Parts: sequence; structure tokens; C-alpha cells
Amino acid sequence: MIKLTDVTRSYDEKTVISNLSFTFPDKGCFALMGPSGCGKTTLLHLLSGLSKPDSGAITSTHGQIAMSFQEPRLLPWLNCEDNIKLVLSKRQDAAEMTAKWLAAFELSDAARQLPGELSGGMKQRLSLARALAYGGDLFLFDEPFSALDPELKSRIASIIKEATKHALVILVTHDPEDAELLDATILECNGSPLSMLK
Amino acid sequence: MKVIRLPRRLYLPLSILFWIGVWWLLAALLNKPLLLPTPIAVVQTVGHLALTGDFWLAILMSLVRILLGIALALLFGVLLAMLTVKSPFCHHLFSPLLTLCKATPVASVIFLVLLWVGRDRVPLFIAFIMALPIVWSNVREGLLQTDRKLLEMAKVFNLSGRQQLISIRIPSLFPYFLAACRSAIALAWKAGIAAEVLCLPKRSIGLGIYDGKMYLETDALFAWTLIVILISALVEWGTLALLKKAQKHTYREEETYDQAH
Repeated sequence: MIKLTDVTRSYDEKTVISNLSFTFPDKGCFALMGPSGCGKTTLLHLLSGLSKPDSGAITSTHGQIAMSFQEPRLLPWLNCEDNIKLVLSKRQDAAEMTAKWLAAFELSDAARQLPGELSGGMKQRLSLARALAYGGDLFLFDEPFSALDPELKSRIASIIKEATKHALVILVTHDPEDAELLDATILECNGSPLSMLK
Repeated sequence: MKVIRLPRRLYLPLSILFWIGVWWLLAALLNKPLLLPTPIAVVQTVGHLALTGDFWLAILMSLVRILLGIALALLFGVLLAMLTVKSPFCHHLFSPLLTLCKATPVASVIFLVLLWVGRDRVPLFIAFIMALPIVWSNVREGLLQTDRKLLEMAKVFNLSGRQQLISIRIPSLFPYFLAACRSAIALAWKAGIAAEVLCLPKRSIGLGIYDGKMYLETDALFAWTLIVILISALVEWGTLALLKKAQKHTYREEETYDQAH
């Protein structure tokens, strides 16, 4: 469960989130939707712990968080395989897990390629594969399907649904179809600053 | 008309040959070996010098002095860069020193250092002072340019400090460090030899150059200069090759580390 209580966050004197209170349950899938710049990504960053609220509190019962960002954020000097292995370094079965997730995301043939040699869609898949390989009980996805074609999107959505069925998933998207593919509950952001999710 | 395209790998050797040709032509036209000896005469002098033990000892001692200065500059430059990135107070404290190092004329520093540390240590000190600001500012810039988004990713995925250092910070820094090495080695080497010429430490390339000038042995002067250029190129090439090899080795090591843990 994640409980936000009167959370406020500003950047450069602009309030992006203002007195937001909301409770996410232990598991389930939620899609944050709303106009650009309304604070969806900021909220995701607060939930991930990457930034702290200026005021208010966020309490969470979740242990391990996995995230895929708006940009793939891959290490350009490591190949696809090593980009995944890097986040699995504490696991004994890192090599097997890496191979499994590369295969699931149809990237086995590109395992030895550097991110610079991949298409936008492949980079996004690799970023999603890294997050799912890392695992956890909270998954945060920022525009996870923005660079994928409809057919691939549907296949990837099935993989994500299966891998995260016992976890809490929060995604940011502009496309209602993305939410539908993941059977997500849509939470509309009320505008800027974000103060209500409904 | 058929255009003959030369392979790219021949560009450098051909341009070197071209300039040697120009030198030869000028020397032949001038016909005054005291002012401009021919390339053959210079190579012959290098050959004669290479037959003596003192020649090799002079090269060795100059190399040790100047390379030690460069190595210390690399070490302190990286440490200072890390410190000044971490602490704005330290940045403001050390910034005037950086400006001072960059702006002070080498000759003034050489004579001052000669008074302070004695002639044998001047080239080391000068190489250090010349290389330090380059390493410091380049590495600092590299540290500041590390992609914050990658560091955020590392934080989300709980990467250890060691993993962040090896997988993100060092690779991000590497191009800046390489550029720093390239510039610092060339500059420190030249300044170090200039310091040797002015301070005349025993067994040094600078002493050879000074003797060449003193006894009007222009071919010896050219021979020593040629040696300085060759050694500078060799040192730069060797250092960069070593660093690139170390970079590749680091990734292999990281992979092994992951498998072992």
C-alpha cells in the first residue's frame, strides 16, 4: 500500500503537485492520465523515491521498486545483455534471468548489441525487460508503450500483466488503450497543479 | 580523367615524407649546415649519439623526471576534481590556484622552482604544474557532465557505489580523462624539456640540447629535438593504448564480478 498525505512538490517556484492525498492498494494496476505537464511524471518520481515531497508524507509498505522511465536510460557502453545483468548482480541466476527476459521481449538476437545500435522500440523493450527482470512489488512505468507498434504493444502488455500480477503497477500514459491493455484502473489527474486523482 | 584515391592509412606517412622533403629541399638550397642541417645529417647524429651509454641514460632520466611529474598531476588532478565537484567551498578555495597555474609564464615558474627545489627536481615540478590544471579542469568537467538520469536509474535499481563507479561514472569520465592525458602529456613533456634546458640537471635531454646550442652543433640540436618529438609521440600513444586496454579490462572484470556474486 502507498499512502500519500497532503503531498506538495514544486520545481523552480512552480507548484506541480499540491496537497495531493491518495491511497494505492497493495496490488493492482493504475494508469495515471491527464494533460502534459500536469504532474504525472513528478508523482511517479515521488513514488519511486527519486524525489522527496516539499511537504506532506508518503508512506509505503512496498520493498523493491522497479521502474521504466520515459526515456530508456540504458548505459550506452554496455550491450543489451549487460544492461540487464547490471541490475541483477545480486542474483545467482543473473545469466539465466537475462536470457529469459531478452527472449520474452524478443531481443535475444540483439543481446550483444549496444543501445546505440537499437531502434527506439527495441530500446523501450529493453528498458521494460530490465524493470521486469529486476522485479519487485511495485512497478512504475512512464509511457511504457510510446515507441511500440500496436501488435508488439499487445504482446508486451500480456508479458507485463503476467509478470506483475501480484504487484502494484502504476503507469503514466496518454493513451487509454495502454490502460485497457494492462486492465488498469484509470486515474484522471485534475490538471496543474495536480491535487486530485479520481 | 581517372582519379587515384589513396588509402587513408597512407595519409600520415605521406604527409611526414612530404615535410621531410621540404626540409631537405630548404637545407639543400640554403647549404649552410650550421643553420639548417639535412635530415640525413640529423639521423646520422642520432645514430652516433645512440651508440653512447650517456644518451640512453639522459633519455631515461628525463623520462623518469617528467613522467613522474605527469603521473602526480594525474593523481592530484583527479583528486582535486573530485573534491571541487563534491564541495562548492573547495571549488572556490582552489579556483584561484587553477587560474594561477594556467596564467603564470612557464619561464618564471622554472626559475622560481629552481630556487626552491634545486635543478634536478625542476623538470618534475614543471611537468606537474603544467599538467595539473588540464587534468583537473577536464576531469571536473567530466564529473559534472555525468548523466544525472543514469544516476537516477542506478538509484532506483539499487546499484552499489562500486557498480555506479565502474558502470556509470568511470565510462562517462573516460573521454574527458583521455583528452586530459593527451593534452597534458604533450604540454608537460615540452615544458619539462624546456625546464631541463634552463636548469641543466645532470644526465638529461635538456643538457644535450643546451650543449648542441652552446657548441653550435646544430645537427646535435636537431637530433635531440627529433628524439624529444619521437618520445613524446611514443609516450602519448603508449598511455592512451594502456588506458583503452584498462577500460576494456574493467568491463570484463565487472562481468566476472557479477557472475561471482
